[in-house]
Parts: sequence; structure tokens; C-alpha cells
Amino acid sequence: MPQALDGLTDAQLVAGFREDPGRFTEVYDRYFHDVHRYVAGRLDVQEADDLAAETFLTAFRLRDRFDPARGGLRPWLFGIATHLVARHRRKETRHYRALARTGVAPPEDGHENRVVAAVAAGAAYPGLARALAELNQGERDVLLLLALAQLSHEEIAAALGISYGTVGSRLSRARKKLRDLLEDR
Amino acid sequence: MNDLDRITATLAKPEASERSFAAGRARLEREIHRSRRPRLVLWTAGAVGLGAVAAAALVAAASIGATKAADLSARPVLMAAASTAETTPPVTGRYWYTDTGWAVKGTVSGKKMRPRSGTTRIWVDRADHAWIAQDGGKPVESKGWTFNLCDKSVRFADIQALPTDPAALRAKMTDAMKNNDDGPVPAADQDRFVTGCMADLLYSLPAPAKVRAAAFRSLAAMPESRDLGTRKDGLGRSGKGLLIDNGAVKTTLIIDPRTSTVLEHVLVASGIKSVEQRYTVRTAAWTDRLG
Repeated sequence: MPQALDGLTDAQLVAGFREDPGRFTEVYDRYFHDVHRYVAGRLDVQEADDLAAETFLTAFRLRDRFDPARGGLRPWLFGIATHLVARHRRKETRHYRALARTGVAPPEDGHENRVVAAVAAGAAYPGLARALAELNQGERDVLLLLALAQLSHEEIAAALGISYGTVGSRLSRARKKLRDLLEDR
Repeated sequence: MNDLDRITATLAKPEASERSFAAGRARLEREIHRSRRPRLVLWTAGAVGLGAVAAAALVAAASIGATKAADLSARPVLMAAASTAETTPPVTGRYWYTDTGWAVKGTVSGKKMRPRSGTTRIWVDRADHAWIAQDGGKPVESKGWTFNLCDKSVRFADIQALPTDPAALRAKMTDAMKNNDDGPVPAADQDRFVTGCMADLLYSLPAPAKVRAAAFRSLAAMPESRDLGTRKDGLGRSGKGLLIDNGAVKTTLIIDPRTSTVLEHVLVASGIKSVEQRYTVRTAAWTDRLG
């Protein structure tokens, strides 16, 4: 399904759903996996199933407010996803703390590869998870939009509604904190 | 491996399953569908935000301006429709098929809303498998279809099990409203909200003959119903017109007396927000044919 959309630009997708709301499913087909990957990285796979879907419902309801002049569909969607993740903030922090304690993520999906992946990454896990829990929400948003969603600085600024400069300063603060915390171990 | 790569690798999770992709897409499709057929609660949306006290004031203010309708009760028309509904031949056909045109217009605080309209055709089989065609488009398949019973999602089987006693049906409808999927309805609006749902059931749900009859009788029990005599709907079809005047909300139904089918359902809400929702029913019947 997504392949069929490869030829369409974001602008064409937007023009499509502006004319026929039913074509908003094309936005879903193109971006669902990206959004899911980002939310799953921040929370867990089960939460991501729900929140990624919720992201597109919210985006659909707010579609009239989408302003192409302020950035593309990607940062817009990731901004919404980040907002939804923020509502789970406490849970997310608890999740990192739980990881920090055990060093292994609890199996979320019954997927064996989930556990395998966690074990493979195990060496870096406890320290990193603890360090992420120490960041404030704004720093974590910027850092994870970069690391998990591969957004550019401009896109992160558009997603979070902050200035380009703030993206840079939050990011360097977050990376410094991480370095210090990880070296502390 | 730099610190960012390490975060990426460490936090990576398995890709979304096909099931979760499909489930999320189905949720979006339902939302799209709902957005095209405006919800019944549209006119209470403002009132929800205002809170119950303000909503009550809004109702009171609207009642002052209400005109006195003709004094003929619509009770005989509704009771006759109930009898006709009850004697409808048993259901045949594989699909419950509705073809409905809808239109919304109005003003908010004196400012004109953008009028919206469209058509929706839906075929649903007894296993909640549906095909939906919007605005003349091609039918799109949707598994696990749910019907809207007073803004609560229900299955085909739930509709077949609705009470056939008017009071019990109204109680069931009230219960659906109180547990609806869209949020609370202010206490002051609940009665007329349920009345709107009852009118809705008459043409939008595959309700058994006896349940439809109960819905007609429940409406007949409302003292505020008025007989409007012969009326024409938006498609020029004649039927019996009746008005249920609840002050802030006026519900008009045009019914074909030969079959008891609803030709048109118009809701007019007046207050800070004045909205007219018009549903014109081309077809609401069982069929063997898709498309």
C-alpha cells in the first residue's frame, strides 16, 4: 500500500485530503510506521499501537489547522505524537526507571525478538535508561525526535513549536547530561 | 557508535504488526466516516462546553422565542405508524442498506457556518461486515462495523435484542446515551437527546419491526408532538409531517404512512448556536444486492 504513494508529495497528500477527507488514509499509509517506531521507542509496542493510531485520529480532527507554511506533514504528525506521549510522561519516566532497575525491558508483545533485541542492547541499557529518566521533558523530546524519528533541527522546531536555536541548546544540554551520567557509572 | 546511534539502537522496538496497522487504519476510517455524518450531539457541543447551568439558561432563552405550533397532537399519526411498522412483512435480504443525504447549516453567535452536505450509502450484513460509499464514491469495505445507538457503538446482534416495549426501549436508549462513546450529555439536554436517538433508530438502524413500532409508540407518548399535516421532503416526496418541539430543539419527521418509513428527519437547534441538520432518506431497507 505505501509503495503506491511513493510518487505523491506531501503537498499532493494535503491537497488530496483537503478535497476528500477520505484520502487522509493516505497520510496514515505513508507515516504510520514512522510514528509507531518513534512512540514504541519512547513507550512500548502496545502503547504505540494505541498512541500511533490516536496520533492520526487527532491529526484528522485538526486537519484544517495544518499549515504547510509552518512545516511538512512529518513534523506536524510527530508534534502531535510527542504531545500524546507527554500525556504519558509519568508512565514513560516510570518505564525508564523500571528498565534501569532490571536492565531488560519487560516483554511487551509476546514477541520473542523483542526480548532478543533487549538482551542484545543490554550492555548499554541500564545506564542509558537511567540517564534518559533524568532529562527533563523538553530535552527528552528534542533528543528522541532526533534519535528515534530522525527529524532535522528545522523539523523538530516545527514539531514542538520552539525556535531553531532552542532545539540546538536543548540538544547540547541533553547530550552533555547523558555523557556525564553515563561516564558516572 | 556515537551517543545518538546508541540511543536509537537501544530503544528500537519491533516494527508495528500488520494487525496494529490495520486496527489503527480502521479507527481512522471510522473517524472519517463519523466526520461526514455529523453527530447528533453537534447541537449540544456548545452546551457541553458551557456546563449544565448555562445549558439550561440556553434552553430557557430559546423557549421564550418558540412559536406556538398547531394544537393537533401527532399521537394518532405516530400510533398508526407503529401499527404499520408492526405489520411489516418479515425481513428478507442479505444486507441492510441505507442511502441517506445529509446537510448541515446554521449560525454560531450570529456568524454563518460553512454549510456542509453529502450522501452516505452503507450496506451491512448480519455479521457486521460493511461497505460504505460516500458522496457517490466507490464502496469501501469495513469489517467489524458498528452501528450508532445514541452515540454508543453497538453490533447488529445488539439491535436485534432491543426491547419491544416503548418504556423499556426508552430506558435502554437512555442507558446507551449515558454510556456513549463521545462524552457526557448535560442533564438538561438528556431527554431531547434520547428523543433524537429514537427518531434516528426509525431509519438508520436495522431494527426489528416490533422495535420500530416501540420507537413510534415512545415518540407518541411525548406530549409535545404536533401533527403538521401533509408535508413534502427535500426530494419532493409527500408524507405525514410531525413536529416534536422541545424548546431549544425542534425535531421534524416526515413519514410515509403506507410503509411507516421515515422520509426525512430535520433537527433544528436554536440558541447561541443555531443549527439545522437535515437527513433525507432515499432508502432504508434490506436487499440482496451490493451496489
